[in-house]
Amino acid sequence: MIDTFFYFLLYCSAVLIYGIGLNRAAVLSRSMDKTLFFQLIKCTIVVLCSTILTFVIIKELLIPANLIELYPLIALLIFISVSVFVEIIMRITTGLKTSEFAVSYLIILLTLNESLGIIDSIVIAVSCMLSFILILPVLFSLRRRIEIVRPKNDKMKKKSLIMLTMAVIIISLAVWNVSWFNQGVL
Amino acid sequence: MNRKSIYVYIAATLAMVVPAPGRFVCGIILVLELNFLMLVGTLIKSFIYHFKLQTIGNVLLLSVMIAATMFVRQILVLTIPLLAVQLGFVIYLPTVSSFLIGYMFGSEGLSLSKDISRNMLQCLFYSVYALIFFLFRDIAGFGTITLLTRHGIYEKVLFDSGKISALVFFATIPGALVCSAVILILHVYVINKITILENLEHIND
Repeated sequence: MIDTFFYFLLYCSAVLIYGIGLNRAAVLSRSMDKTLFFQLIKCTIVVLCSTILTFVIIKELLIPANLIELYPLIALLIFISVSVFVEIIMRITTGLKTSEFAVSYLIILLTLNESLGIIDSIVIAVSCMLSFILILPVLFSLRRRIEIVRPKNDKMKKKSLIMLTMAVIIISLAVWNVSWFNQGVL
Repeated sequence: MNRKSIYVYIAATLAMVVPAPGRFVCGIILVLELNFLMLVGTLIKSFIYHFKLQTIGNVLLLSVMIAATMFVRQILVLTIPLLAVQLGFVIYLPTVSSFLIGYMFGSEGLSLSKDISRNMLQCLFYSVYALIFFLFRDIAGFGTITLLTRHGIYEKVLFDSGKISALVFFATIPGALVCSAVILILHVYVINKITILENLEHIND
């Protein structure tokens, strides 16, 4: 279980290796404020609830009816229902808009694709969300560093520097994989 | 290409081109899927406005888009299962990309023909850009050009990629990110030079 957790958190990060929310992470890392905090809390709750509910429906309804290929549609409908419910609670309690679609939905799909059991799916969902959350402070600090050192840089140069840094982070995470030493593997 | 469109292109590239395998054939499939989804989405959006279904519009649009993606995936599973396995999860990336969603929710009040021509034209421009990107990754990374044929995937070997192994980097995700960054830097450089030239012309006038 711990292997799965760290595999999807670092070695095969949902953001850096699967590419879920690469662009979203670059956008959200502009500021670390209260809205982002609540948005991430909402995302985590929605992803966990939707994954569990979808997994149960897949196991109890879709597999017996041989309709397993329909799971993305079921996941979408459950995700929208849960998301709207949590969004309403968030707006009433905090007064903030925390709508987010692409990252949460893709994490749910990835979790359902990769998991073998319900506990497995929860672990993968949590580690995928954490991998997304962990990259945000890194990118935010990088942005601040670029702003301080090179204040005359425009948005495009900043974005390109962030993309280059993301590439470096991916290489450093995948440095343990030495399969590319063997010619012909790729 | 103005500043706004290069932002859209880079955002779309990060969302669906960078995580995809660096093969030209994968690019062809993803681009075809993107165009199909754009067409279906535009038609559904028009249907929603025509029948005044705005209250359930977003859910209906997203459900149809996901259903269309599942349809594309099933066709791929039946025709080229190898490619369906290779693409796997990536096939859902264009559906939720900001490029597609931005055009779906961005233009209200246009007629169907204008909406289709506008969206498909933008999609076509982006498709050309994405295909060039995939072609570069395929040639540089693997030394091949992979194409779709009636019998499956055809691979034309151009050179032995083992001899220039440093270029294999461009077939990977970091390589694709570096490519995107270089394109962005080059674009900024060219735009700055053009601006300087235009300012000089104004001064001379």
